[in-house]
Amino acid sequence: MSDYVKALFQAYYRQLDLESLVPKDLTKREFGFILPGKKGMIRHQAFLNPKDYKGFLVQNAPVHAYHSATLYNSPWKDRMDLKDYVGCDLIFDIDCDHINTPCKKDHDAWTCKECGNQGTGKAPEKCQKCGGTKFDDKTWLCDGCLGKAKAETRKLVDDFLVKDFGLPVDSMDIYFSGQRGYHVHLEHDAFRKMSTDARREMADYITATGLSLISIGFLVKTNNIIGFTLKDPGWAGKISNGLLNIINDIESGKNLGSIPSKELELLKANKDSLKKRLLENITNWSLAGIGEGIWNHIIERVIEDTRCDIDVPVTIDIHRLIRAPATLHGKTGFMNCKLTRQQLDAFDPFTDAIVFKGKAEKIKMSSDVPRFRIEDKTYGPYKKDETDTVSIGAAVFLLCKNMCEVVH
Amino acid sequence: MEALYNHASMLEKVRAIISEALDNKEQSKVLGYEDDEGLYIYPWIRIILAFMNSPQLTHRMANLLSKHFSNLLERENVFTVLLVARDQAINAEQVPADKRVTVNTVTFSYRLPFLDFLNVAARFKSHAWKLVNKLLQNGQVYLRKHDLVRMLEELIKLKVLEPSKAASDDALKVAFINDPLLKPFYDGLVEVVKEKMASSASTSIDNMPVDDSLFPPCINAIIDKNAKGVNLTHSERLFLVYFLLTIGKTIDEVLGLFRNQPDFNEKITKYQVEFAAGKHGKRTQYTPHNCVTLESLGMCKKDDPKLGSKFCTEPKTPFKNPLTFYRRRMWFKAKKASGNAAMRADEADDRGVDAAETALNGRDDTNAHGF
Repeated sequence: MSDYVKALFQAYYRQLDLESLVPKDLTKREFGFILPGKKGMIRHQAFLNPKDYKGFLVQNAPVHAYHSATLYNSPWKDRMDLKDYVGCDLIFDIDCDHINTPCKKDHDAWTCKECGNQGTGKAPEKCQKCGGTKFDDKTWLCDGCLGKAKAETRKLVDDFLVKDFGLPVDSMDIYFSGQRGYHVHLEHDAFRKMSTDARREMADYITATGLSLISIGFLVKTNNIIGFTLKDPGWAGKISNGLLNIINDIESGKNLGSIPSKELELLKANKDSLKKRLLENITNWSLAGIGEGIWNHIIERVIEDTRCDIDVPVTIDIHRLIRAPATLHGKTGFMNCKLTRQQLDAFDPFTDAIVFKGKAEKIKMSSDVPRFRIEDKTYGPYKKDETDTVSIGAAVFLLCKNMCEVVH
Repeated sequence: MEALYNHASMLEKVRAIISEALDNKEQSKVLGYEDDEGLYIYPWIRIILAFMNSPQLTHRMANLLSKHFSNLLERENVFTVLLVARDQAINAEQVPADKRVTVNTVTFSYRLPFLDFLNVAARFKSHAWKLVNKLLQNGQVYLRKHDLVRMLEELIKLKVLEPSKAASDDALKVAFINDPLLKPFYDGLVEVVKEKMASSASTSIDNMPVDDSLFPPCINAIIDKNAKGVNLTHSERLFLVYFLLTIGKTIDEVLGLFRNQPDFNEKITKYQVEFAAGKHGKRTQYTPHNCVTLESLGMCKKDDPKLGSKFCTEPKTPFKNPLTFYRRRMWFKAKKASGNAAMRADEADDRGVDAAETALNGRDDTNAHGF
């Protein structure tokens, strides 16, 4: 991190009020920091009062600041077994990295560390040229990726946590991470006491892992297919509703590219009959030309569209560090923002997470830079060595990505 | 101990119940339906189990008592079942008639908060008990009476398996085993338990060399990936190390496997493998991840067309951990070698392996240290 960015980060922390900065149960959490110019993370830090925590941030301007989702009686101890576990917040993480968006092909790139072979999109498991397995990844942020992450977060909150798990929407805190996704935190004691097994079961429900059609009542008896109704609880009802959505999309002429053409044709041919049965809660799903195999393919697609793409290890791990609220992300300069469900709808990370505004800076690109947006202005694409005068938010964004230098 | 003196028949009943447990019975003839003596016997069973310190015996007793009482509960009316459930912090209720859920002619008349459900059911092995396969709506899981009883059965089992305070009460143990009336009784019990356990452990797999050909699909998939030099993920590395060390591979053998990794660094990897073996840090010997965790992490390969195995997909007795897959097949191999091959590996009695499985509690140590 350059001295220029460090000074800005320090100024940001200096003016910040304690209330928005300090996580709940501060004294029981372990903190970890990556500091400017230092290698690796310093772990096992703890703070006895909010002022000390703020003082640390002002003085050190960490590149990344994390705290444990876990509460300990002795968070400063340097061995996990000595920290004295109290409980752990339940965390859901939605990250662009885990979501396939078509725009990745346009803005993400990889280079094989062995032979220099290059490609776009997500790095392969193995380099096709030399078989190497280590890559330099260059990922980028765009409205498409963060929009998809936001849609997944809405799905997680509305369709799963509120509707299925019955949780009041004000019992959860939603955070924009400051870079590539969103976190949902549940900090009630009942969740803090959950075992790893119980957390895994919740994660599996949300991702439809281990879903067995037979177990939820899908039956094939000779030529009869017994399905579900729209009002069935759990995944049975989700599948019926997903199916109804597909029929509505067919009727409105929407592009249904994710459904194979054979299955789509059969659904089109049977749409009226199927819609009638769904709306009348008739479970007889026997339809001309749609046997058990075809049904399985169709339901698979419905499940794929209905499940939510959370990062499962984050939810089931009870010793994980997560990004601290209101801190700045060292790879973007964006703020980690706390949001209510209502605020999430209108939230624009490229505007609302920008803390450095106004003041133009002249910068020189140190590498090629793809197009990006900060607030209402779009910048680039730039070639290496090109110069431009940009807002301070855009300059910080590129400086954090090591893609430019300030021209004095 | 006065209670045991005053009720001489109690000693005989305790002995008989332990004998039933040793014979893997699931129904007790000693404990009656309307018999209050069970209330007095239970604490003594717990104390004796603690003194004997035999995980196998405790496990079998837990099985006998939980199955026995679940049979009794099945016969009880629904109000009694709900009362017992609430006493055990399962806040189940009967659903009003107009709100009951019926799926394919089966009516689900009871519901309970999903956290209460998960507190018990997250331990179950069967797919049908996964939350994803349950009727969940507005925070409530809809069940049948039989399901509630099954949850209570599990809770009884856990109560018996819970460590007893008596285990650390040395004064009580000394007083008990030296008491003139109780000494012969206790010594006799110890003899019987020893004898029964020895006969069931006759097919021991403990001293057999590790057989790589009997590995479960999830391990084979990682070994294949490693052989091709593909970079293993953190979770894959941890799981592989925990598994191989638990079944008896040496630290050097495990270390040798990692030489294929593109980022292999002998010094670092050696430290990490030794850490997993409990030689550094808090000196914990980690057990491999359970099947459900592997499934959540996308590492379960039971349905893989090339690697999948019927021992995973169609086991006669479901299992929680890939170690059981390996140990059952090893047990079968041992049995075959000793001339009795008349059973499928997955039909093998768990006697040789159940204590180990009991010790596996679904721990997930994916973030324990960094490979």
